Amino acid sequence: MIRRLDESTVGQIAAGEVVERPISVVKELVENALDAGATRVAVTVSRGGLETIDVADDGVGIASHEMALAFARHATSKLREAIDLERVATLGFRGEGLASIAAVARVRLISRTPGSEIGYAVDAHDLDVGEPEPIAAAPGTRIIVRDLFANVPVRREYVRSPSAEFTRIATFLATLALAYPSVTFSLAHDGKPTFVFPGGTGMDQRLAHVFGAIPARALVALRDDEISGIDVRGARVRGYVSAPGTDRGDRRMQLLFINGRLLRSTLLAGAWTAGYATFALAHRQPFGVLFVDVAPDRVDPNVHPTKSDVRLRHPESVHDAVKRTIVATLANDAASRMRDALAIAPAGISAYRDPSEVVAAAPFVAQPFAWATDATASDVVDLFARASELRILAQLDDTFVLATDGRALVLVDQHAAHERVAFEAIAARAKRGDAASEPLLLPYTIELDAEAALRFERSRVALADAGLDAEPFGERTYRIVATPAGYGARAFDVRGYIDDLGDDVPGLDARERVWASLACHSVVRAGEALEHAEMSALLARLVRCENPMHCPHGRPTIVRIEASAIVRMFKRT
Amino acid sequence: MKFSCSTKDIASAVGAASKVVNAHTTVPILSNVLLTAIDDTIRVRATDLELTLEHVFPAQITEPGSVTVPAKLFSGYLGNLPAGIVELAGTPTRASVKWEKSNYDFHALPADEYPPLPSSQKGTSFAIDARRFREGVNATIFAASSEEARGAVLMGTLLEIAGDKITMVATDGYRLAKWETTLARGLEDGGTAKFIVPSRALAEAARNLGSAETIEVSALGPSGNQLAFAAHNASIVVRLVDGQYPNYAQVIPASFDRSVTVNTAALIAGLKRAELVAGDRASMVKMSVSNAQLIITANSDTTGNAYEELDVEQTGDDLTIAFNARYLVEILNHIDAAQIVMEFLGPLSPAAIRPTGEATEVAHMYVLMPLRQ
Repeated sequence: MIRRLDESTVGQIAAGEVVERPISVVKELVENALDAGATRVAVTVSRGGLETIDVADDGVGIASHEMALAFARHATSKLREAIDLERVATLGFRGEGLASIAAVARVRLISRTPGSEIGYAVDAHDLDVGEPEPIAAAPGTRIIVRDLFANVPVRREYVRSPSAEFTRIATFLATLALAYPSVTFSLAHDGKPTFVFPGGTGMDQRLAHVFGAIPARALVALRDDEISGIDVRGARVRGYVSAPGTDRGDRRMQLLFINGRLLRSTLLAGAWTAGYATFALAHRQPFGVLFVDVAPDRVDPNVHPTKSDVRLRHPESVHDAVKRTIVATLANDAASRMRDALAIAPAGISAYRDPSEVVAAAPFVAQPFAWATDATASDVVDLFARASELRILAQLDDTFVLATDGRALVLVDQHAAHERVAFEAIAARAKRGDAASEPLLLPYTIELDAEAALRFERSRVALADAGLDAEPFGERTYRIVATPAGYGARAFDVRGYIDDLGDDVPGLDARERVWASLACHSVVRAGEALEHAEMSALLARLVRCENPMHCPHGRPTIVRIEASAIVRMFKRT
Repeated sequence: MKFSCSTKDIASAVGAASKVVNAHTTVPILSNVLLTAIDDTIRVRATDLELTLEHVFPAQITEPGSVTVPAKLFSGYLGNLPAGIVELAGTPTRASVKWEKSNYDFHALPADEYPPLPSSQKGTSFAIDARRFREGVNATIFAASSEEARGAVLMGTLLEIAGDKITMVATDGYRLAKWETTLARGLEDGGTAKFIVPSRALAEAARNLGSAETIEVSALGPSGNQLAFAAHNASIVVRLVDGQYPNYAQVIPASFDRSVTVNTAALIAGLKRAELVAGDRASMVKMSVSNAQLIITANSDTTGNAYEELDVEQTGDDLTIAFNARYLVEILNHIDAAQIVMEFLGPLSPAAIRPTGEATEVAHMYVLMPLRQ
């Protein structure tokens, strides 16, 4: 027998899509508060939100005659007609938040509008919405949600322990607070305050709370596009990103707000990584928070009920804006370079390091490098002076150059360092159309498998720019006539190079990948003995690089172990 | 086994053998040298399975037999013995060495587990003056490829025998070295043969056998895939590189239309200075020949400009050509002559470099591709 579901059941099903767990309630209510123009949002929960969730704000409030309507499904003050969906600027818009919550919990709504002397309270549960009763209340809205899922045992089982649910809530609220620095946020659990972020007092406390105190210190504020003069075509990108070298194994701490909405976007995550390009370490991810503001008509949030994904109208321009802002920041922030060096700590030693101490003792890397657009002639001279202070001590395991500036032991990965030097030389020459080519006395053919041939084909123009002359010579066969000239004393390894093209290096564009591979296949390897003069020439060239700290694939080139760290290893303190 | 011998003899034999031993081998016995006492001589053998070196020296043998000793350790010990007589007694697990009042026991591995010598079945053979052989090896093997990238063939050096002529050729695909001389004893009936020899084996042969009078070279094994170099005191057996050596003759221009004759030392010095400036630009130096002057220039955005002028003997038209200075200097460093001749066809054709005033029984030349932009 087919029956029409009663409205209460329909409500519960629909609510299931919006209200999955306590955090869903908090999210709805806090977003409503922010939409109401709150400058203060206080969240109080008990037993992970299963017992009560209490969200109070000082926003515009709801007039008593509209309070019942607030619980009606698809009732909202934020949209009037379908056309408004085209330009949703508020966080909530579907008008199903309160109705959904009431479907699975007991809700008390207390509100006082600015013009009103007193407040009104309405109780709602399931389909029963009470009459507004006068009550003493502060201006704004307060919503108290009790007995969440009490009438939906299935969902209750699905919910985790109160402490796990509370952790989600705390993480969410602290993260959201990043996007609203002028709003005061507070959170308390079971009668104990968890945090209070006073509005307008800067980002440090919020960043430290979200990312952890030490990682937060590695965050670099993005250059505002207005300052860096980048044409971002309708998208403005602000935020804080980790300095190169500080990174994580996953993307979980890549927080992204689009128009104040916390979202995931594979596209923009890719742009983020791309911005790091050769600064990034392979398989490691930068972290931080990005605030992307685009005109409301360029974004369509109406994709998923939990609004966690977003559809962009001009994704490529937003991608571009994100990437370029990050590039501009990393390339111009000398401080990022400094932190960069600090971040590269040998695994076993990191525990001994106090970052503040190392900052003070890292003059070699703290200097603005010659590449910085605003570097002056004296900076460059200074840099050379610094490099010459490095005294080469030895070669370790035919792989690392050991040097010192008297204050720290400096280890250089000879392959990574040489790769960086070669990469920049190749890139510079290719950009100038000035790549020398070394013709072969004995040209030879290589036969590639289908996949390799495809990779090779795709890169052939960039390869030719870099000096590799390969003529098609039958199906998947090429005749190598000339190779990029003289990057070091070795013959160019075409096959190894093509294999390498297959490795996906995040953030490098096609040409950069060609250059990175050329560099990799033309330089000294680990396990090669180097003369003293070779080592010092390598270091001198390395410090003149635009980005001396990493090889093009993102591995570190230089590691400093401060004397103070060594002192502690020997327990001399 | 048991024998006594001079410390100098055993130290030099074991020292040479230990250079063949591969320090990173995964087969423990390959880190050892094999000592065999038989017929009043000691044979010291080391192998990395591709190359086997054996040194022979006289000894007083009281009990014939064999023992294997860790090569680096034993050679280190012997290298620190003053001149004198050393006695060695070996068992499958131990080598006891006695010198005056010093007594050492080294852990040994059973000698019968040591890889046997390759087949002694001899094929084609010829003989070469040892001093000439050393010259030829020195003149060619550096030009071979040092990387697997273009295949093992180019890592080897070609020995091409035709009657009583030997031609040694090495190339890495960019530059080529060719050296010819007359053999002390050629192939029977003016026959021909080609061997691609790992360049390292030629270097070892030159080092270990170069002080002898003549070196006997013979193909070994049923398929002739090994080559033995033997002199009175030592021998080397090497597995040949399998493959087809490229037709090098076709890349050497048959004739050239212009040339310069220049002082070798002055050219090397000029190129080395210019290369400093060209360093980050593929070591590219330009050479311009005009009015009996050779002008070397180099420039780079990061370092500056170089200009060198040399007086030369010029024949034929003027020319501007670019080279990788590093390659050119490496070639010139292997020419033992006060003056060299460089011959050209044009800025994009291979150039030839030869010594002047060389002994008539030797023909020695290099071919180098110019760079292009």
